[in-house]
Order: sequence, then structure tokens, then C-alpha cells
Amino acid sequence: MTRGRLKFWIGGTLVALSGVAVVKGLAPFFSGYVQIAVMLAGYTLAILGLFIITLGTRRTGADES
Amino acid sequence: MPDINVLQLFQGIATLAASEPTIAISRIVLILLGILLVYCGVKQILEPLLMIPMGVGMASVNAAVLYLSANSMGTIFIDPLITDPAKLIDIMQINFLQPIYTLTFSNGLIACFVFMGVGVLCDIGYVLAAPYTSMFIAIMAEFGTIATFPIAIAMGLTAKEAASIAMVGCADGPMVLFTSLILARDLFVPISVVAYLYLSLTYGGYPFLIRYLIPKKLRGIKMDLKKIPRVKPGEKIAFSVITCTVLSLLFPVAAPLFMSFFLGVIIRDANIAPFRSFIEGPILYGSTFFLGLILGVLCEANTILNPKVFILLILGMTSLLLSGIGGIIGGYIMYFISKGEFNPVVGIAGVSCVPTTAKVAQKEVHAANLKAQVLPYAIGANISGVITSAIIAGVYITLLR
Repeated sequence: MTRGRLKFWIGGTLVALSGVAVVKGLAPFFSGYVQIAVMLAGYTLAILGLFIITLGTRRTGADES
Repeated sequence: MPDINVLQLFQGIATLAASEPTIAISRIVLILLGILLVYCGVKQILEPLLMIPMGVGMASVNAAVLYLSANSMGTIFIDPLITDPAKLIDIMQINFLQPIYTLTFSNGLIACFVFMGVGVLCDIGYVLAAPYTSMFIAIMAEFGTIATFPIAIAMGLTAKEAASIAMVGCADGPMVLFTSLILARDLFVPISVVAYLYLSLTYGGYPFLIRYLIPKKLRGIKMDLKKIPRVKPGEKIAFSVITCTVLSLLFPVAAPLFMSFFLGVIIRDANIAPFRSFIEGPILYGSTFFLGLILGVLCEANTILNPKVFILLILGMTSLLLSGIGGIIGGYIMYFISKGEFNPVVGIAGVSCVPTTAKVAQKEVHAANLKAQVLPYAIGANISGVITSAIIAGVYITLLR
């Protein structure tokens, strides 16, 4: 795996885990609509992290050779 | 010669005569329905793997009602309503299917086994090859799963029951079973039966929806398969492990489903032949067989007769229909974004009935244009549908439990 693609894997994993941290660690400190908004932001961040990881599976011409 | 009471000799008939008319008629109808399911299964009109054991179970259990004591009637198959542990241990010595029901069905294990089998059949590489398209279509195809929830509440169901029946829209049997077991235990039998009956109809029903909503010219659009990137098995495994962990952290209540599915995916890509053949064969087929049989046996008139069943039938159909329409709208949006290069039929594959809806999409595209191939994209959307369905199940269970 090239360094270029590794950054998507590491970055994506960190973003996804920070999303989990927002949902599980940060959201309980709030209540009502703010809590819901923070949770939604966390879920979005976690899913976004998984999408970032998928960028690391893209093949470029250099990777193929 | 002693007096022989013929009705005592044939207790199935005696109990039929002694039952209330509603129950007696329901038993006869369910026996006939069971026979019809077996027929449809054998003729391949409905999914035979499920419908044959289900039909036999349904016909048999409704015929086999006997006097358990002087005043009570029942069967020696399953008692799904027992909750007292001492009585449960007793009844497990009597009812021959009770151990399987209690130890594999009511705790969701059988749903997880089926999910593991689905995982082994899925190549997650198709999701990774076109992640945004696949996930977008899958999210659109959850339209029924989300939109049916408020409709069900408006029709008088509780939030938990509404969420359980709305899950039919994801067209994923184990997911519906898992959700309804947790959220609506009193209604899980009719909900699961409705779900599985409708799921077997998707193969026959969705083609009409596709033909009605997408003109032949668009159905025949040829997609460029050379654009699909190749994903290495190691990458698929790494992605599966990370996704499974993140989703389990977010939705611990749905973690058994995530774990089972991604374990199957990982075993497939790790190419562990003995495990793969074990899960593909005995686990998947064994679970499907017992799932069908237990669902059939649970369709005893006394258990299934519920005033809400009619509402469930309407809502299940609504949910599945809306999901199909949502998926096709997603396909259309991708068609416009890609400036006409994306075949909108792929949208139907976002409904996560693996691999049926992907096969339906390919079949319809092939019928419109013999040279058109959309299967890789359809499978990607299909697998993404499984993931989004599990996420929605997790959201419903987390919010409503």
C-alpha cells in the first residue's frame, strides 16, 4: 500500500472513531435538541470516516504498475 | 366392546369442532394457506427454500391441535408465549421444536446465522468500487423503512410496532426478525410472516414496478464496467474490520448483526475454505430451513389471530413499495448526475434483499438491451442496502427500546 493511500486509511479511521467519540462521549453531556444535533453530527462524522477509507482503495496508474 | 368416541380418537378434528368458530375457520384457512405455500414453493412461484418448510409447518400445526388437559387445547410443537423459566424448562421436554425456538430463534441467533451466510455470499469489493453511488442508492431505497414509520403510527400502532413493520421495507428477513423480536415481541410472529411472504414476492413484483417507472430506452442503458476499480482482498478485510468496529461502537444493540455480516465477508475474502463452505452450506441452509419451519409452526390460529394483522399486511406492502420507488428515484438522480451514463434500474438493487433485487435489476436491463450489464453496480448497491438496513435497525432499536 502506498503512502498516498495509507493516509486515507489512517485519516478515515480517525475521523470515524472521533464520530463515535462525539456520539458516545460528548452527546450525553447535552440534552434536548442540542443532544440530538450533536449525535447526528457524530453519526455523520463516523460514516464520513468510512467513506474516506474507501478513497484508500482507489487504484491509480502508479498503483497498478 | 368398549364405546369408542371417534372425536377423542381424532383429536385434531375434535378440537376443531370444539373451538370458537373464528378459531376453527382460521385453522382451516391456515391449513389451506400452508398447502398453497408448499405448492407455490414446489412450483418455484415463491422461494422454495423458505416456503416449503413454512407451508408444511403451517398446515401441520393448525391440524395438530389436541387436548392438553380437560380444559385446554394446544399443540406439542412450540409455545412462544411462555416466559417463566421453570415452565420453559418443563415445556422444552415436551414441545419438540421448543429447544430450537428458545435457543436459536427467540434470541435472534438464527437471524445472525442467516446474516453470516449473506456475508459469505457478498463481495464487499463492489461497494468499495463505487461507494458513493452504492450508499446513495441504498439510502434512497430506505424510503419505505423511514416513511412507513409515521404512517404506521397514524394507523394506530405503537412506535415500537411501527418501527418493526416499517423494517419490512428493507426487504431483509433476518433484520425484520431481529428488530421485531426486540421491539414488538407480541407481534413478531405476524410481522415476520408478513415480511417473509412479501420478500418472496419481490422477485415477481419489482419487475412490474421497474417497467412501470422506467421507460425501455433508459432500462437498456449500457454502463461502463471498465471504470470499476479493482479492490484487493486485504483492503476488503481491513475495511470490513474497521466498519464492523465503528458500527458496533455506534449501535451496540445491532452489533450481533454487524458482526455476523462482516464475519461472513471477512471469511470470504480471507479465503478460508473450510469455514466458507461450512457457513455457505450447513449454517445458511440449516438456518433458512429452521427459520421457515419455525415461522410456519408459529402461524397457529391462536397465536397469529390479532386484529392488527390486516394493518400489518397493508403496511408491509406499503413499506416495500415505497422502498422500491425510493431506490428507483435514487437511480434516476444518479442518471441525471452522470448525464445519462447511469442505468436507473440499478436503483431497485438498493433494496437489500440479497441477491434477489440485484438479479431482478440485471434481468430487467438484459431484457431491454442484451448487451447491457449492470450487475456489479447492482451488487454494490445491494450490499450497501444491507449495511444501511442494519444501521436503520440499530437506530430504531437504540431510540425506541
